[in-house]
Amino acid sequence: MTAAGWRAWVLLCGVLLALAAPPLVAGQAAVTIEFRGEVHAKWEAIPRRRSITVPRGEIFEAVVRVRNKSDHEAVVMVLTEVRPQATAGSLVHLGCGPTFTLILKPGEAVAVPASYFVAEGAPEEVGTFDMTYAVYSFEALSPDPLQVGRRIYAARCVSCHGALGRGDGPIARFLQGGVQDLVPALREKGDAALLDAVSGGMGPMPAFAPALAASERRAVLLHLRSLDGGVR
Amino acid sequence: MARERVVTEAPECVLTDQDGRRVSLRDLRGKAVLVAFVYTSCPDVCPLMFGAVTAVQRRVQAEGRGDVVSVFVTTDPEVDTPDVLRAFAVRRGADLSSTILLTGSPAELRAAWDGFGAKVTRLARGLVDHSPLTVLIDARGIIRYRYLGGVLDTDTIAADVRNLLKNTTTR
Repeated sequence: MTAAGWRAWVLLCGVLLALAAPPLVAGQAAVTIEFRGEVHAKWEAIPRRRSITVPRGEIFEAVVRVRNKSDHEAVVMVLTEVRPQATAGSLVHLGCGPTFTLILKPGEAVAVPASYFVAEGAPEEVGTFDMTYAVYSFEALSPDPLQVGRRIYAARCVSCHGALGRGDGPIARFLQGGVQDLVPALREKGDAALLDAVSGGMGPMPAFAPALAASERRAVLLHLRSLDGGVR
Repeated sequence: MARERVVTEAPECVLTDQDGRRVSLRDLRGKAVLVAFVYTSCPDVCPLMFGAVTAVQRRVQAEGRGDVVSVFVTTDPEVDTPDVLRAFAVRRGADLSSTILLTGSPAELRAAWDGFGAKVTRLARGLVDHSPLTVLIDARGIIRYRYLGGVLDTDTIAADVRNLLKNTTTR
């Protein structure tokens, strides 16, 4: 058989195999994930592709390219947000956390891969998810305690407490009883009580004393106070 | 949550529990064992996984269908010493007669993570990216289910545990 003949034969086999494949049934219906990024004067977070269509349950990889466009070394916190929010738990990240942290030199860009799948129990009526990469904070690498505190808050607190401490972080709704608004607690409690909570944990919140130095915990307190306009 | 039915022998691993004792998964034969991979300073889904797994264990154990044990293998040996694990469990009201938290040397833990198929990447002190993996092991040491996802469906897992225990007692 000639080369052209082989090509035709292979093509025919491919078509027959595709026709013989079982059709998608309810519960395995494909879902489309549309990726969005953001472009800013100092940074950009651009997904490698605009969308992907995958069967429920199939693991796929998404890559976002993050670039520091400023003239200084910076700490970049990127948060992934999923819409519709009510079904965000159906899009499962195969890792721990909706945020990631990068330290980038001026002009440096890195590609960040992450794996996901759409749970087979995801609502049938949701055919499309929007996944947005949002830069939550972008700061010059600095020993300034307030900036250190803001950086730690973004990495370790924002997933439950939300960007402004309002208890509206991406996983807050999965916690029994939700997450309380921090602002009233900031007005009622003294520094010692707040440091105790950060150090020893509270309810499902981890104890950070084993993971953070005392100076880092005090830096978090500084940032918490700044959330309420520095009430104390 | 993704749920996968499997039939594969659980890897043998000997690690250190919250009281500093050496514990082998083999010691738990005869019981249904839920093993989850978490770390105590996780600011994300690990507290949810810990709550869900201990809730399933308590619920099925209370039904009197057989012994169920929750095992948590840390993904952060740098922070999670036995004392830290114990404080974590006590503060969450875990029943330490049926809940075991395990740590070990980096090499021991790496073998355990690899054996169960958990990917673990250290990002910073007390900050780790890892597969949100939970597995259900039967009384003979065979992994029967793998659950992936930080938000676990406790009703489904409880039903799987009940089925395992039923099959164990009727065999």
